[in-house]
Amino acid sequence: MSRTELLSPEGLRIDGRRPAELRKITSTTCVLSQADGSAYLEHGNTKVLAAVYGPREARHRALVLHDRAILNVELNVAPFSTGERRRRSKNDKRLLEMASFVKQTFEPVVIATLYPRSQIDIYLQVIQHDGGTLQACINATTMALIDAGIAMTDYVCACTAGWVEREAAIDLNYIEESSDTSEVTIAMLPKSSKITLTQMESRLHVDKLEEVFRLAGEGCKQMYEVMDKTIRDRAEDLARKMAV
Amino acid sequence: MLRKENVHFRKTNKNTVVKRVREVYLRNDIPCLSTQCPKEPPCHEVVKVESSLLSAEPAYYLVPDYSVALRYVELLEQEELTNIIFTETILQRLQSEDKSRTYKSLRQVVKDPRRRSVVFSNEHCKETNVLREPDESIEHRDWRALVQTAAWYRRHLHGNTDIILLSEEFKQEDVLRIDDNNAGIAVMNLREYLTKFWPKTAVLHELLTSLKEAILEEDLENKSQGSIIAKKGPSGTGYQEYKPLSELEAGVKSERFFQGVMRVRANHRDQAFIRGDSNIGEIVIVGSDHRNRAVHGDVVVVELLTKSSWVAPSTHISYNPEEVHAAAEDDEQSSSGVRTSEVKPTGRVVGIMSRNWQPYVATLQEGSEKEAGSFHLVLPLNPIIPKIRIRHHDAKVLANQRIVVRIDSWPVNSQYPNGHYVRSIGPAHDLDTEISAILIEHGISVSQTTQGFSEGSLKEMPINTPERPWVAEPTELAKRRDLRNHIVFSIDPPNCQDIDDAISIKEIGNGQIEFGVHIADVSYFVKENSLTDLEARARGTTVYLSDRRFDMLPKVLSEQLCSLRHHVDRYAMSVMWTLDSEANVLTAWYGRSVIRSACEMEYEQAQGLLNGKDVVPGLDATLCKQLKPSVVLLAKTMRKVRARRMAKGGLELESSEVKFKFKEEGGGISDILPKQPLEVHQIIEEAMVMANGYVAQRIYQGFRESAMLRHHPPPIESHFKMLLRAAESRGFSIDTSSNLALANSLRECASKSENDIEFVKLLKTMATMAMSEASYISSGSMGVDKYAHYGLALDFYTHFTSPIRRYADLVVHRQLMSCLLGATPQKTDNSSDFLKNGLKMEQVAGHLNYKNRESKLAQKDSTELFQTLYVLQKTRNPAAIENGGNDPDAEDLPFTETGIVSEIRENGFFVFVPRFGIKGPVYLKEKSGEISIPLSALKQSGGSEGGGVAGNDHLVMISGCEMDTDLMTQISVKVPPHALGSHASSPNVKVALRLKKSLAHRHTIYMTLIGLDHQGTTASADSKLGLGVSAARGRHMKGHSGRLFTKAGEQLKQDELKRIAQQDPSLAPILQRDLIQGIQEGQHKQQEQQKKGGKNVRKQQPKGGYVDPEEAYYQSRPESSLYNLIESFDRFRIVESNESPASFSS
Repeated sequence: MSRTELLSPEGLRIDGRRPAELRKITSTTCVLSQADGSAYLEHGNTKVLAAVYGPREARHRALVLHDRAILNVELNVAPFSTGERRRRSKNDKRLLEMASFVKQTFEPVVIATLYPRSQIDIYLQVIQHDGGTLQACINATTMALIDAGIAMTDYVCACTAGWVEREAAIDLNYIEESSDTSEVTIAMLPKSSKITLTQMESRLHVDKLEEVFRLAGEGCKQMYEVMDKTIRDRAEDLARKMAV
Repeated sequence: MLRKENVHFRKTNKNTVVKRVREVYLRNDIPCLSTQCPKEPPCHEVVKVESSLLSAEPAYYLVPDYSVALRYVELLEQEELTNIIFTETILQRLQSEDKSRTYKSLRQVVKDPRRRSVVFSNEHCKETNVLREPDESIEHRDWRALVQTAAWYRRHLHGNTDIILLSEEFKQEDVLRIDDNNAGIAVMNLREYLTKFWPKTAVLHELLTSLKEAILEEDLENKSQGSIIAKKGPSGTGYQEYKPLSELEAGVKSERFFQGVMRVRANHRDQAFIRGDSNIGEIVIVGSDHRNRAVHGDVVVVELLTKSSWVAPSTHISYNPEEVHAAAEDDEQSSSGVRTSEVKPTGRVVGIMSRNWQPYVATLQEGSEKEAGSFHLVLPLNPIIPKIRIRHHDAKVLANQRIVVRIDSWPVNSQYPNGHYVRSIGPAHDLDTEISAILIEHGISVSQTTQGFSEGSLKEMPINTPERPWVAEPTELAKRRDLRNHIVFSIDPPNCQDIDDAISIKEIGNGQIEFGVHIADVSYFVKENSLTDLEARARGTTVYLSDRRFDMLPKVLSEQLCSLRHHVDRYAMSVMWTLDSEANVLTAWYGRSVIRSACEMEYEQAQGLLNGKDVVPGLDATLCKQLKPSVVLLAKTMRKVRARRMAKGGLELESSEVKFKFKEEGGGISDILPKQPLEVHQIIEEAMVMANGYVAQRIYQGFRESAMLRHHPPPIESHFKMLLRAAESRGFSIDTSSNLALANSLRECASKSENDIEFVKLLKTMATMAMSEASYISSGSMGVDKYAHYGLALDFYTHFTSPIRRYADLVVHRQLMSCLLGATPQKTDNSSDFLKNGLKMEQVAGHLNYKNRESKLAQKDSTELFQTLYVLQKTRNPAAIENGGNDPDAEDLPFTETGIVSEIRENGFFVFVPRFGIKGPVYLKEKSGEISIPLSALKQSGGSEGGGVAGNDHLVMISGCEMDTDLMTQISVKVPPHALGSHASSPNVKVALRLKKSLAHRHTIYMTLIGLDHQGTTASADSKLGLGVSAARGRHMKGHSGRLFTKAGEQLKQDELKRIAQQDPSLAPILQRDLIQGIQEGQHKQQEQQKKGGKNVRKQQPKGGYVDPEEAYYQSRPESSLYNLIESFDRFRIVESNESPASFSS
């Protein structure tokens, strides 16, 4: 009957983190050889695979823009991603919405004018779901785009934060997300600290917003460090191989 | 950090099995929370944690296991047990197994800094996490986890402290199997532990025994449960299963259900109510079936019944405290007769969000001890709590004892809740027992009542013994403003020990006045977060009962070092103002000072000086000469200040308070005296209000987010209904739009009805009842516009002037000091953090509000207790005492008193006897439905002032009367044969005070009608028929009797008599006889009275109204606005202040 305590008086969250701690993040790029660029990212138990194709010739002539490339994002959640197997239709509105969020996030960042009359396809696959899908998708996309060598003005790092019981907490997991917690996802360009996306679906008191935002922003910066390290390691690795 | 995954399988609603994976991070930084942590810096400082810390000295730390935590919470709650380490393992398990009440109790233990107990998050600690092995039971895994934790503590603290694992299931051998290196880890069950470490503390042993019995019973029940349900079925009691939580939550959100705290009406226990939301107002719950196992104070979810079954709340006075238990059967009957016009939303309880079960004081049901078997029903002292079924092996021991019981559960198939015996307080109706019962019911902790302070906190105290008297330190003196050359004096009740305020005032030329209020500097002696501070915070306030008090601070402080005694140097916090001749404030100075009081004056003495006397008893003549100008100047200044505040809308309210005079020896109460209000009271009050107001503004400047303020919200408009109606009946209109408008209207009413002080008093009392409750707040928790104090008409108010007896004042002192030191950088220790932390301040404010309220209620209960004792003394028949004291046939002595009708109900009315401050019911309708009034009520009582009652008329009942009432303003009784269409009315009645004796409950006072008393009102009341005195909550005795006697003159009466006789010849003889007898006796009495000249039992009206609205509120609290409270200044808990004509008109 009693609601689970999301944040114990000792200051530990349900999975043993403290409010301002991210989950363990692991990432690799270049996981698919077929794709032009790909990345695999884990936020704790949320696991996402991103594949980028392009820039390539647009499928539908009608959509072609003659001065720049168009972005096409498709998001798919695997039926086995949650404990209970559940198949989602391809036209699931939630998924389409999330895909469009990703698209909107990247449109101002990808320098599309370099690739006129072409199309960049981003395919996202959520393999395992444990909260924070959108942030994981955005972060994976950034890495896959970089891996594909597509010109961007900056990284895009996303992070969620929410108000858990009495404190702002970062990177909510599924249990925290699903118990009526207000959650904000923001995507940030870490160098300029500009925000390209904020998304919130629940109510949050305006007094608490600032604190939540600040924490999410800090999370984005941390994300950037993790992602940047992966990218640089990968680049160094390649450079070494080329030199040999 | 190590990451791992917890995997478990769970069956879903659809009967599929789902695998759930949870990610868990294991940390290295879980602090041990022990003050003896050998690491540098200690590990609890590396990670910021808010928690109490395990102390450094003890010989051992306790680690209870699940079996102990689940079933012996009460034992762990005992204040003797300290240094307990609660593991996350058991807390998580309590939560997952839905034992939230136990969980909360444990959390409470951890929260209490005096208990020095902590929670160790062992499940998230890398070194203590334990994985469940294949085929291992959960119990065993948890046990291993505990052993790991114990071992970890041993290692971490380098084996400095032994760990005792408390377990009822596991033994020492079980440790060996898990951990080889287990020196210093002992496993004990509770019995072993108590025998070893607390061999002499009988309370603990007793508690353990009773808990064990309760558990035994529970186990038995569990075993046989299946068969019981099959036999009885859930329908056996009429209770229904609660709806699942999800449905309740959804229902509350969609406004299909309503949630609120259920309260049971004290004077009609069949009825309970909750405050719904603003749309629906109050929801009534009638009968025990609809109440569905909820107990007073629980947070319940209520479903509304269909409109056709809505009922009006009963307007009967219930006859006897046990009635509620029988009420289930007759509630149809009681609801049938009610007026349809006043039906209220009626509902039934469908679920309970949280229980508010507390320890209850109860008594074994009479005769139960003779019955075989170990189950017994006990009757809680507070009749709004249902009977509780307990198990005790030897009920004879409990007979006639007050015992403490707890409720454990209330299964759907049980008429009464199951509980267990905790401990015995003492024989019923013994004074000390009853007082402990009051303290227990109001949650006043044992440590406060035994006056004990821990050794540690006493060590913190400065030394002040005759050999080594305390002296002010020169270094400290240098830092303080030296006011020792000022004439400082204090004015307090006689024999006041804890003087926390003193005053100085003098003219400094230019017509300017230097005025200072000096408050005991408690914060200098009690450092923040010291043991004394923690203890004081927990106590919250000094509790004053009628004959004793329970201090908040150790005696050395409260009666000696902090108390501003005369002729000694004392540290003080001072507020000094420079005032101009019109008492406008020019400058204000706040700060620490040192003073030397010239005189401890008593109120009477000060009033004497003020009245122009040059020498007052008890004071030296030279001193009087010195002080007199100051007192007069003070009075002059404060009158101006008060007048200004009154002009802004300050309210003057009414209450009735009494004090008890105790016999010198042998105990017993010699008299009850109404408080005598003097103008000096008002003057001192005004000075304190002024200081409080200024300090409130000052600390708000320094602490925008966390200043401890006291606010008093404006009352809810609907609460004025009664007041408006009462005023209307006299043709007054009252404007309640603001406090100023209200004050003006009340003043206008008062000036227009000068000859009826009672009526004005009543209006003021009713205004008091409409008030909301004042409370402490942290300024961050609400908007600036909400800080205002309605009753005092101040924008900022706080409590600053009584730090010896209120913790809030101590906090305010610290905040003020911190404001004054503002410029200098504060150390970054906990203390300044605490003052700045709005959230914490809010918690403290909430706690203090609770403590304050409970202490007020305890005080009220104790007053009632002594009032009943007094009535008991007065009515005790000497014959009965001779016969061995307990002769049930002995008729009580009559004890007659004059009172006013204060509230009208369907079957009678409440009478308030101002002389003793006692309020009690008068039943006109018997339980059987028979209406009867005594013959004496028909008699002229105008002339008889004597204490006795003429003849035995009051015992002769006239039956077959009819009664009618509009419940608000009048009640009328028609005496057979028929009413004659004329009536008289009087708000004043003569009543005999009686005691309803009860073993299980406290004795209650009730009254029987003796007659009408026209004394106070003949001048005005007679004027209009029917409406005449309908002043308030009404009071009309109407019947042909009245008219007879209000008309003056023998002749008129004779005429009347003839008329009656004409209409009904059969009545004539009776009337004739009564009348003549009445008249004769009246005269006789009068003569006698004059001869005696002394014993005047007539109601004494306190002169003018006097205020202590906060007290007033508790005195006259209406049931419907249970938790409202109006504020004012309560100095020494009894502030009387005289509404002097001067200030009234100005």
